[in-house]
Amino acid sequence: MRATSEIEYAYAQADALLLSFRLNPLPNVAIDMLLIGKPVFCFARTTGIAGFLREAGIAEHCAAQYLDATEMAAKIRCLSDDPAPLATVAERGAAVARQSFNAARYAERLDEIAISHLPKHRQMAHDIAYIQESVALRRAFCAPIRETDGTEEETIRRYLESNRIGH
Amino acid sequence: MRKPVPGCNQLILAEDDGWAKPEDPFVRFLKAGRPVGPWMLPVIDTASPVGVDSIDPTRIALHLHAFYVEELQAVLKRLRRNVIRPTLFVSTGDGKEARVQSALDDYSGPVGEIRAVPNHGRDIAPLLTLFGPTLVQEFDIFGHLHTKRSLHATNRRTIDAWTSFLMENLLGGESGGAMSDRILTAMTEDPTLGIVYPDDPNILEWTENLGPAQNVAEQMYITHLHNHFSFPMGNMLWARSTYLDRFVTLGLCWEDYPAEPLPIDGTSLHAIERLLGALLKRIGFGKAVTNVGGVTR
Repeated sequence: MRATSEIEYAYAQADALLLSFRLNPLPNVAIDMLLIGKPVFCFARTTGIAGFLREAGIAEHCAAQYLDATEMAAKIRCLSDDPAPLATVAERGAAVARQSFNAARYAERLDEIAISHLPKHRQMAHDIAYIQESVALRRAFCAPIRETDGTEEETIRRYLESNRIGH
Repeated sequence: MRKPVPGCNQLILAEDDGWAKPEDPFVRFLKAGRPVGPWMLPVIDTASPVGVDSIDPTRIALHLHAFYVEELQAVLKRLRRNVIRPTLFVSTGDGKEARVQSALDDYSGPVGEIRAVPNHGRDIAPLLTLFGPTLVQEFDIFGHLHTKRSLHATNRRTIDAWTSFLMENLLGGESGGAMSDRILTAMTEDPTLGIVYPDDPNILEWTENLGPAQNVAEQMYITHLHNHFSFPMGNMLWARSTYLDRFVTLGLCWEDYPAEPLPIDGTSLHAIERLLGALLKRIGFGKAVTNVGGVTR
């Protein structure tokens, strides 16, 4: 299907969504379909939706083995033939999607990550100040030949950051 | 990852002191009053003493693997900064012996042997397999250098800077002065020094070479290799014969070395380069590094 401004109409017409691709981390179409209570199918170990289905406890119904088209067809047919599990899967998918794909929760989580890094940031500032005061780091040795134009603080910061990330 | 000062390896520090600490290992090292340990190697620099009277020059050799003969003059020019004239052993490519001989005409020290070798085993096969048995038997200390050159313009600046860094540290030059005299003085004064090599500011460890290194180490009856260590990156160094003998007596034949073209990592040659720096304590020797102020890479 080409790009359309009538995507809500397309969602309403569809009974389910099959994500056949492997690499898109979290496709919006899948999130939208989950939120309106329609089942989303994908292959295991592809996209972030595969993980979502697993965490929501509905992978057994909606996630086929990696690129196993036969198993995928069987899963789709199984749900389409049996309204009871289909309703359960749709309800469960929508409920977990509302919790997971929530802008307020997302912003909250970003805050948590930023706050968790504050002690490291303060520690970095402390370490830079201590090394600067001790005049112990040999800048001409430590700085790569292509980076000798930077300030002493930049050299110390790069040194500390590379130690922290391990390369 | 870069080292903060010559001689220091902060990963060895961190391993000893514990990884899960908020402060950087170098800060902890400074706060602890710079404790002595394997994380801080002795450094031979331009302020180190020169005492050539205590050195017997007839017991000093230098192996040059001169695949690029045109680089030989620059090596000899650096060597002339020093008083000690080691006995030269030169390996080179097939058909290049006469050019090497001609380049050595002005050398005022003894020339032991010039030998053509196949392009196999890089500089290590000529060192350990060809000249190794003679060097460890007839000399107390010997150097090992090789000519480096990048055929690709994009790499040329990097290789030139690296070569200059290694040569300035091990032989000397405008910035380093008589570095090989200083190294030989230090090794003569301290018989426990097994090797001396330039302290590369970069930290590099086993990378893809732990498996091949374990294979070689097992042949030396060494079963455990440490995670963190430093080694003569670029494989140029001064070594004590009694230390290098452990590698020579591996008895490697030419066919034991991998064939060209070599991958950029993960061969027995890369493993031996690392083991030269990793095994000293296990074999009962110490090591020192060199530093020439203002010369880095």
